[in-house]
Amino acid sequence: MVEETVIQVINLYKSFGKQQVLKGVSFSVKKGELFYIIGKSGEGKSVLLKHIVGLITPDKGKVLIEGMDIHQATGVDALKLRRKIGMVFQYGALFDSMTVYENIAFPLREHFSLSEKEIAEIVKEKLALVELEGIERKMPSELSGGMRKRVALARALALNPGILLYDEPTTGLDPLLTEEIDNLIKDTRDKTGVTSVVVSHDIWSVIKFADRVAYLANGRIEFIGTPEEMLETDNQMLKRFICARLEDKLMTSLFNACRSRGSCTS
Amino acid sequence: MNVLRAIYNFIFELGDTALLFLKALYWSFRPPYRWRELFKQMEKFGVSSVSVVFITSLFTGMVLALETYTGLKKFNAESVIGSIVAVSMFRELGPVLTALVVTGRAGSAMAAELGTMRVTEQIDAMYTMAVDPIHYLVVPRLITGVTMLPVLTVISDLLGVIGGYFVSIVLLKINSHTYIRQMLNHTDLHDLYSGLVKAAVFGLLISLICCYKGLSTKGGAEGVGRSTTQAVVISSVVVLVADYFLTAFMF
Ligand SMILES: Nc1ncnc2c1ncn2[C@@H]1O[C@H](COP(=O)(O)OP(=O)(O)O)[C@@H](O)[C@H]1O
Ligand SMILES: [Mg+2]
Repeated sequence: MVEETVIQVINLYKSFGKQQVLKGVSFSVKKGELFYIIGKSGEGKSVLLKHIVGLITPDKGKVLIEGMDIHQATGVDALKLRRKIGMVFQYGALFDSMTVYENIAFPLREHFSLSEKEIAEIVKEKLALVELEGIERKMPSELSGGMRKRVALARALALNPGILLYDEPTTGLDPLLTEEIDNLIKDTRDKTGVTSVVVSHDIWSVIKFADRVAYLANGRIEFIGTPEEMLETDNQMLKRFICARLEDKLMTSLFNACRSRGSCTS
Repeated sequence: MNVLRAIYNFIFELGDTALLFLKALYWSFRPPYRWRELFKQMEKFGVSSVSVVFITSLFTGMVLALETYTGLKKFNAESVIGSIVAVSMFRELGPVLTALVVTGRAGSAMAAELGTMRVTEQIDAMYTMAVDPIHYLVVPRLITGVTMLPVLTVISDLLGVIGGYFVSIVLLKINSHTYIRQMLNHTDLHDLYSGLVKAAVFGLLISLICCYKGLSTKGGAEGVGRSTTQAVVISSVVVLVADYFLTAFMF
């Protein structure tokens, strides 16, 4: 299989006023990859994701999606390009004036002329994919945090995007729910082959599931590689980030145990 | 220094608002036309404001009659109360009162709703689903403002006249026949139309300002409160200023 590059971020610069957030970020993501971005809070991870969907325009540099510059595209091209990318926002960003059903139906109604029966079928299918059923009539405010994230994922999947971006999908969730959402992200990738970029603070998620991981610090990508390579890193900042609450040796042995079993708990 | 900053911000926001208007105008003529969304907005806009418009206009008509009565009685000219009430309501008070009431009810709701959608990233989410937020959110709200404010103004005009009639006939014992004849003689359709043109312009301005303030909200729940307040204050001031210029140009 040829490894095809779907996302190319090239030398991205962005400032807000005097504050320089991105100072030359470059990396690329391959088709079907589960790619993690880690970094301290406020380092610009969300800003970086928003550049990839085209929500923020860079001061300098570009983002290519399947070779097309997302910031240069206009009109129909821009819409087509945006439809290839789904984004799951940190707090779900569900439309709180609509039911769960209407939320997932929203992109379908906007882009296709489907019958109500067809829409209902797709909504059901997407909800099954995130292991939620029978909550179509609920309002987002009636859902728990974890459920809301699942619905957000279902909605992002509605247009069958080739790329999914997750902004801190597990921040603020309890450990069990974190595990559940992590599994869901991996399962979704495995089932649909969607290229997935995940911003996370959770070092265990990275160790368990990441194909590759990038460390964002000082407005640049300071490290990029596999989780194994990450543990061997010489970068002191990254080392501290990983081992903030653990001894080095303990970390490595835990890591090996995790990786070989596929889970810390089983 | 602060003054310069304020002037700079003012010009910047003015330009941004104008840009929002142009973008909305561009999208207005592009399919898909979301009728369902439009009717939903119109219903919300009308229903939220109609009861307040009802009461304020009724009492404004009543107090107008009462005030003019004391003045006109000295000249034995009570019979023209009807036309004074009608002309003031049609040309001035109907549209302006309605616009101010709508700013407080529908306008603030609009700014708060869009502001909440902005800070909870719902608007970003819409964009990533390849739906243009200006097309989906702003266009129906502007059309609602332009069309619904004149409708509410007609209701306001009517109630003002009814209020004035009630006070004049029942309380001040003026002859009903002469009252109505005087009113019809001194009021023409131009008074009504000019008021409705004003209302349409006010409706556009209020919706535009409230949408702009909502969409440009920053900083969580506190930010939503701030931009809602600003939307109401700015809309009210702009309505009164615009009223002067419209009057100056139309008559
Ligand atoms: N729209 C914006 N306007 C101004 N500053 C912003 C904006 N978005 C993000 N920032 C700033 O950029 C920095 C990075 O933010 P963010 O990407 O949200 O960090 P994180 O890595 O925690 O996701 C923060 O200091 C934030 O204040
Ligand atoms: Mg963030």
